Amino acid sequence: MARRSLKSRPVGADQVFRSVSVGSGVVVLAIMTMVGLFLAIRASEALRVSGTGFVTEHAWEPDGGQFGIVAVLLGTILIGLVAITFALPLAAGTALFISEYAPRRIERMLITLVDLMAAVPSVVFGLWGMFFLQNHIFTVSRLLSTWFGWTGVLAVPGAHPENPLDTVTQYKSSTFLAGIVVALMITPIMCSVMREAFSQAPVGEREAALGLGATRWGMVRTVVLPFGKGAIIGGTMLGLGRALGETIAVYMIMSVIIDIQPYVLKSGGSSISVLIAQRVGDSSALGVSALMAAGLALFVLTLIINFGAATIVARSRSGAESN
Amino acid sequence: MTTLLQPPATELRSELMDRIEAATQPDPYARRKVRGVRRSDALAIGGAAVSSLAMTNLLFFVLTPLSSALAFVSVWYVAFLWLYAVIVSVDEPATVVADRLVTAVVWTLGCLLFVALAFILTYTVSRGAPAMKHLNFFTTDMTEAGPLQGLEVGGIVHSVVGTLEQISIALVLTIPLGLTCAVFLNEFPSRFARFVRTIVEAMTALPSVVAGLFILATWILILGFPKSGLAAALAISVMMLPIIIRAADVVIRLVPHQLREASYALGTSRWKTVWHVVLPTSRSGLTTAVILGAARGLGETSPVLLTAGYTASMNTNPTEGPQVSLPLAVFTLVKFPQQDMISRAFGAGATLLIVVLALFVAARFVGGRAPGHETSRQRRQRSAASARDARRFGARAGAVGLGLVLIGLTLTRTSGPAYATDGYVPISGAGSTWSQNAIEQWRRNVNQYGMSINYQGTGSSDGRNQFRNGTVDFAVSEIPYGITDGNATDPPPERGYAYMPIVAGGTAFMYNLKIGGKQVTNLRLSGDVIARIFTGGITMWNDPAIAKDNPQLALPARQVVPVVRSDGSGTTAQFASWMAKEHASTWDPYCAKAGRPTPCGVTSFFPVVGGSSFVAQSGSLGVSAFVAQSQNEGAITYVEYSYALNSGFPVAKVLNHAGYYVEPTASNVAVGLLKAKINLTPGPSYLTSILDGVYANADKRAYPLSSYSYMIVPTEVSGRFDEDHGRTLGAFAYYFLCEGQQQADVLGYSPLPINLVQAGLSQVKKIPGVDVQSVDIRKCNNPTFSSNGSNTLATTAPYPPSCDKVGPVQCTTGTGGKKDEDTQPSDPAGTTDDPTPTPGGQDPGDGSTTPTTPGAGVPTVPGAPPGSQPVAIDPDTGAQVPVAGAGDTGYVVTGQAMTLAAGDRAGMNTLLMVLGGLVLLLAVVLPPAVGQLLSRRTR
Repeated sequence: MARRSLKSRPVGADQVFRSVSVGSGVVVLAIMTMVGLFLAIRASEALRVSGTGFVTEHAWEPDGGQFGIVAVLLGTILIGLVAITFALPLAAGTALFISEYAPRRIERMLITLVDLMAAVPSVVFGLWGMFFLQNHIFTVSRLLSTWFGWTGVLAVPGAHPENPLDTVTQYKSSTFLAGIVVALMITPIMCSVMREAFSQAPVGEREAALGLGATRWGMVRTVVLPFGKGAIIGGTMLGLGRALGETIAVYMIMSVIIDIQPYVLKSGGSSISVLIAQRVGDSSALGVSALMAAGLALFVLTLIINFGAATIVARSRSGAESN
Repeated sequence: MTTLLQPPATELRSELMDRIEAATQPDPYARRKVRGVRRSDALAIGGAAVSSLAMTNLLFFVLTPLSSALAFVSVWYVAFLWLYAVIVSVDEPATVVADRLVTAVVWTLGCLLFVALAFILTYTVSRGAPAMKHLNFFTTDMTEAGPLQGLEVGGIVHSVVGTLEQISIALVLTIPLGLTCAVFLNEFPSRFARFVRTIVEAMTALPSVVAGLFILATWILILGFPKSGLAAALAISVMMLPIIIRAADVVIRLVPHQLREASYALGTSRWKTVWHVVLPTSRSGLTTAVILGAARGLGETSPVLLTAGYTASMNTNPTEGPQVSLPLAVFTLVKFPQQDMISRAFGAGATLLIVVLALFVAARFVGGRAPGHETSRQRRQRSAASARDARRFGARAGAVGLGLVLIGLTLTRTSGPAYATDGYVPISGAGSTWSQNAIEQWRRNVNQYGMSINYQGTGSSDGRNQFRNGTVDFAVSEIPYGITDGNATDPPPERGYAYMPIVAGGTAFMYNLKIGGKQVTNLRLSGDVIARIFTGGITMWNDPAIAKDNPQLALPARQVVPVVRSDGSGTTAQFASWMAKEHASTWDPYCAKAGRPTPCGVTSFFPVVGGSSFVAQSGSLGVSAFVAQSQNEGAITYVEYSYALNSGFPVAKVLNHAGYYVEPTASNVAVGLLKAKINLTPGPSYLTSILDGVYANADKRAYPLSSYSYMIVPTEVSGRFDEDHGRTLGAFAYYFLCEGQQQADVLGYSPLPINLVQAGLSQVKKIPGVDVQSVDIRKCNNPTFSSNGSNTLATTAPYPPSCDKVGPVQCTTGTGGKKDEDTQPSDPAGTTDDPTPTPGGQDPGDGSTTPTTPGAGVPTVPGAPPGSQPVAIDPDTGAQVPVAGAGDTGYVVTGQAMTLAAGDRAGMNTLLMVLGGLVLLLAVVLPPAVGQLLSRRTR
């Protein structure tokens, strides 16, 4: 008896469906690869000119052959760090609030509100930051730099706070202000990720803690937070990735100076995406290639952070049970 | 028989007892309240809040010199937590105290986020309300509206249309591709699918500005397409595609595999399973994912910024010509210093919010809930669909049609801006912000002739670049091609081009300074002082060098904040050229300090030394808006004169080589430019100017930093520039070379002299496709024209008054945007008078000259010689300024109460006050703590 073939041959319509689907996958792959390759090729033209100076130089003069991302990368990372400092407690607190402390009836509404905040465009945040926050936050900056200037990072060199005529412009347009606005932008995303994990903490373990006499905080501390630890870290890294790429709000708020500026409370700062947005019109062909190299560096950094976040979330307890 | 008629007394009593017991004991079957707030809990919170408020109040307003509202709220919050913990700890053990504290903190954090969201939304809507109140805001575009017109003119309908078109195109491109790819990833799992999924996840990390850069470099620069709505839509699609694929992938993966297997078991093919089972099940999630992706793409500004250009008019054709979207309109409108424009920007932002909110609500409503859960509406729909299916099976109807209705109506050629019967086509230009005010006014004026001109003020360097790349039809720049800037030489374009002067004007120094609370309007500066200010040599306004130029102004000890251009600017180039020629000894060392090669010469990018107090802003609007903010006292910038006029701020009078301080009015600029050398040799540099003679012009009326601005026009057809574009450009040139010059004075510029107008008119003939007109120069009404060829404006220019000469007397008249406001001289301290105590002042003779407590009025200087004229003391500097007495028609200087930030100046005072606060705290906290300790011990 001849062996019967167990493979099924697709019928006509199914073959069309299969080829269309696989074709779309190929097209998407082609588009993404083309974008990546083009960026890499143009960036390499610039990198050939700058050599290793790209990671050690802090000026940005592509036509002179001297350009490097040290200053802008530092500025980008500083903005991200300031944003995370504000966003992490806010997001974790809100996520805990929604999943544990808020009345059940309004939980869905709160989740919708958080998603709505994630959908607010970044120009609106930029407007608010420019017109409202900038005029009110400089008192905080002045206070912080006066009392905590000894930490070095929070100092504002050149400031004389005891002089009533001291100009306030040195506290405006700073990395601190941009970081706060970006923090408000990334908090909803982080909050959603964390809340999903917190709400999936196993009910049995929760009730066991409560049954043993723990208060609500004790239950949260021993069951919910360890369960959601992966989501907290993953959500933070996701938020950080988003904060590093934020362009428009930072462009509107900060006074951009391409130099190493480690003082977050002082006016002036830079960011790779703002550098690209601002300089693309003024640049020659080599300048555009240099900007692409900087954009590629930002892309690689965000990629690493995103993949790290995905791995941590997937490996955590909360991630293993969800998608 | 008593037993039959009455129950016995014991039974009565037990029934009574039963009733009493039932009334006093809780019903065992009633629901027990497990949660819930006890009265003591509410009182604890309320009590802690009120008492901490009282304590903070005491600390702030009576004891210590702290002042800011934020500090008050923070101290109140910390005190509230502390006191709440203390109150709770009286009754409850430590674990409960920790629980209550954490509850309070978490509630605060949660409410903080939502309060911030509500505040941002209401702030945007309330700031935009003045603009949105007018219906024309939603029905007209910005063609007619200039920066000086009110809110009754102009609107943002062109950006709404642009946004809708761009997002529709992006959705048409990404939805079919994205959904099919997501289906592929789920239905055909393989190594290849996993690879695609990894790449897609990686691409979600692509920053949106890099997506815009990609489209700019490929679609616009390499393939040569124009900046348009289609380019912006492509950039948005590149950004949105990975996001939509990933979201759809997650949703489709959630469809239970049992549903698929049931479908296969019934004998359907793969595609039928996907079409009839998988997609409908995930439909709600897919809709939500698509709509949220659309909301994300809608709000993106940076890809649109790089690829769409800018226009003030409505453009419904996305494939041709620049198109604005709402976020781009917000970003551009907010740069203007006028309040009306800012209200328009906020209104556009509020409109964008409304659109996003509408999409969001639609997502929640149409999408419904997750797969497996249905709303009642979906249940009803499902049963109706089943009934229909039953009928269909019974009737064996014919084949179902697959209809995919594309939303791509916009891919067909829709009409762009109206073609006038004269055959003008829209043209676009970019470049200098120095002359932008003039160009914008001319652009609005030629609208009536059917010419549609789009102009983007992006800086001269960008304009020259765009003209070289062929993405604009004309560029405007102050400096020509071929200048070496630092290490780079600006190469000229490949196609033929010519320079045409368009307007003259002066680069003015706009500043924001106050003496005694009143704005200074008559500042004078010599060239050397200006050079030192902008190279960081002079850092305080009361520097003796500035005082030498202003002998009658008691300038405050305030820091100088130089505001420079951060983009590639022709204004910077003009300024740098003057610095390099006249003050090279100050300019070259500064350039070297900033890392530039010396000799520095002309540069379009102002060098900034890291760590200095320089502020860099983008565009003439950016620098003038920064100086125009009322809190930015001490700021000074270099910008064209018209920006100071529009912002209502004064400009500094600059010392010329004849020893007079002058401001850049139209006549002074005309006089100055009499010494400009125009290159008259035919060739690529024909009509460019050399301004060395202008800087050194020894006429008393000449303004040293006068210059011309040039338009760079093509002289041959190439790329997108054809004869139709040439005809429109030529007509525009004829307009502004002749009639447009009449308005130059009013706008803050200076009209071109007759020789340049004639030369310009001959250049127009070189534009391909131009309708050559023979213009009668005499009908142009140009104020510089005369019958004998001399410059009338220059010959009739008024001479400056003697108080403008270098010397001890200073003119009091205002300049620039504050021409009508005089500044009275402030006498230097010690030459007059009797200090009169002003209201709220301290007792003279207490020996202290600086205020140490908040809320103090103006301190008085003890020991000043008595005199005849009363004076008051400037609270900022302690200098004496005159007060209007009887018969004086001057102004009255009043003191202002100033609250000062706490410093460590009065160290002992602060220490004592903090100790006092601590003692108060202990007095409040100690008794209950001690009582609790004692009661615990006795328990």
